[in-house]
Amino acid sequence: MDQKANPETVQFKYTFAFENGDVKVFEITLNAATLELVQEKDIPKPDWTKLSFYPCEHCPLGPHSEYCPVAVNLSQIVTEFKDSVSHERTRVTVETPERTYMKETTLQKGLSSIIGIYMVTSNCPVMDKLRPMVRFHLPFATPTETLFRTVSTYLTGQFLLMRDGKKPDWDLDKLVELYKTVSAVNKGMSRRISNASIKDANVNAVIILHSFGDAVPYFIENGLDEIKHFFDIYTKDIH
Amino acid sequence: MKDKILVVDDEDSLRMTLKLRLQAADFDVQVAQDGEEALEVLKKGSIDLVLLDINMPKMDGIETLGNVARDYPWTEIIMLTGFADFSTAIECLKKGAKDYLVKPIEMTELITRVRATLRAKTSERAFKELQQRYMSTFFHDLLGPLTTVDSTVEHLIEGKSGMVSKEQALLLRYAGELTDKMIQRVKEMIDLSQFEAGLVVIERKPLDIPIFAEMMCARYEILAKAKDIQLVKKIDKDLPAVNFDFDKIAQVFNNIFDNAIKYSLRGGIISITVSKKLEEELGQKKESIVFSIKDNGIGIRPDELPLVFNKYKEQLTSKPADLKTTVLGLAISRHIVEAHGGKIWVDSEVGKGSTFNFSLPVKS
Repeated sequence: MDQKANPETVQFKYTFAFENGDVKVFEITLNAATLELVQEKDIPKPDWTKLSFYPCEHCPLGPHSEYCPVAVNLSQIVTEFKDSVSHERTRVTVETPERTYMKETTLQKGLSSIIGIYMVTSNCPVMDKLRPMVRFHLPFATPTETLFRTVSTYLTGQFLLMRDGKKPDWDLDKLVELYKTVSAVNKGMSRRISNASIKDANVNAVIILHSFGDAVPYFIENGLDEIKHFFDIYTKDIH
Repeated sequence: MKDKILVVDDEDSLRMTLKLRLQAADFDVQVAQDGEEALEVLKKGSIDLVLLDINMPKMDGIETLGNVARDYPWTEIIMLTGFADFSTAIECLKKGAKDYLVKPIEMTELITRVRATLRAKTSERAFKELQQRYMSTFFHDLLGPLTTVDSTVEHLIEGKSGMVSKEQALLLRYAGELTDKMIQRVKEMIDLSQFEAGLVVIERKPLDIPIFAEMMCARYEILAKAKDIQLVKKIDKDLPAVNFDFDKIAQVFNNIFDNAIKYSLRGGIISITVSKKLEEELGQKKESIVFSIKDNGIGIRPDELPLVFNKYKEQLTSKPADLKTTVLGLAISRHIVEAHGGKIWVDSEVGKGSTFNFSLPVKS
């Protein structure tokens, strides 16, 4: 499908085609300036999206917030797949104005890719910190690719901080701290979604995101061993 | 030596992150993407603990758990699931899992649970090994006196200590037959305990398969004739030589053939097929020699098929009472075939008969 680029938005169109002929389509539009999800007003908010329903540990939102913003963003897709099995095979096509991606995969893998977008574009104070990554969203990314995107996005942010005369975090210490809180949100969200689903596709999609988030501090503390060798050309020159 | 852990999950990114984190915690880690692949990995070497996802394609976690608990009693299992369900947790623990954890789980907690399970396993294993050594000695001690009783009875029947009446000879023969059965059973117990304690040495030599198969069949031709059973042989002639332990594989052949004769009705047919086949293992094809012994006896009920090679099972209910004597022989056969890197299995239909098959890899 041809999507016309609109400079005011960032668009993704996810199409899940199943072996039984079922097709489910999700069109995501983000505000290009803020990278927030552009939602229709008055979207239905099921009970499980209330902040009090299995809240995340150390949730920074106060009692004035009735709904969890991440859960509200996820409500449509979670409802759509609440009785789906994680390992069901599907062909996922992701269309953007620039290019199209396609993968024959499991539903949990396809869902984890789209859920990642919804989670960081919701105005959750924790997940917001990952929002710049969504502009460079890579569907079906491997842990290694996500690690590279995570670190490079963060370091770009630190460079911009430095240019503004502020103190950058080149050691990635704050990124480690950030991912510890992201893990808490992923964990809380998996409990919430598990209680809103009949089968395991939705929850396993969040678990995939959690497994990566939980490993980020480890990757960093181990000197990014998994991707270090790709940068030999730089490190060898220096030494 | 590092503890060996097998991570079984259908999601590659979960397998990868779990592998990396467990390796960092000083474990030797292997991975499998479903139950079938997990069983192939287990067959190739000892695994101390399996981290087993529940919801997977092909063979799911619950079925895999049953197979691992039955075939690898020294391997501990921790179930991992994204979808907590109390009844599934109970089912897993009943089937032999040591723990049931709900994902997402923090690595520090997972590693703590893994270490605790392995510590408990080490103590339990030491106790069981002691128990097995004791049992092995006990059965050896039993075998000596039983053999003496058997030879004494033989001595008396032959009249070497004076004439015996016809009635006395009949009673002595009955006593001799019972003693022979006890000796056979005690020898099986010794074999089984030695396999379980890892004390059996397989002495492989390159042997000619067609000659071996003909020799085995010749032993049973007379027995079959006595029961008016027709023996049909189909032994391929151009089979490659295979390295195997003659006595041990002969034991497997005898165990299966004894059953076939025992369960075949008078006038029945037993077919023996020996051929070369390509078997698929972990996506790779390998050549094997497959022995199939088919009878048209009473057959085995479908729910009892998975239990046939299990020493702990109840006696099979589909067998007549006087035929319930071969359980250990098949359990030992499984140990022998697997020690050669092969497989043993049975296909059966009640009322139509059973086909027992075992394979030996051409390159072992």
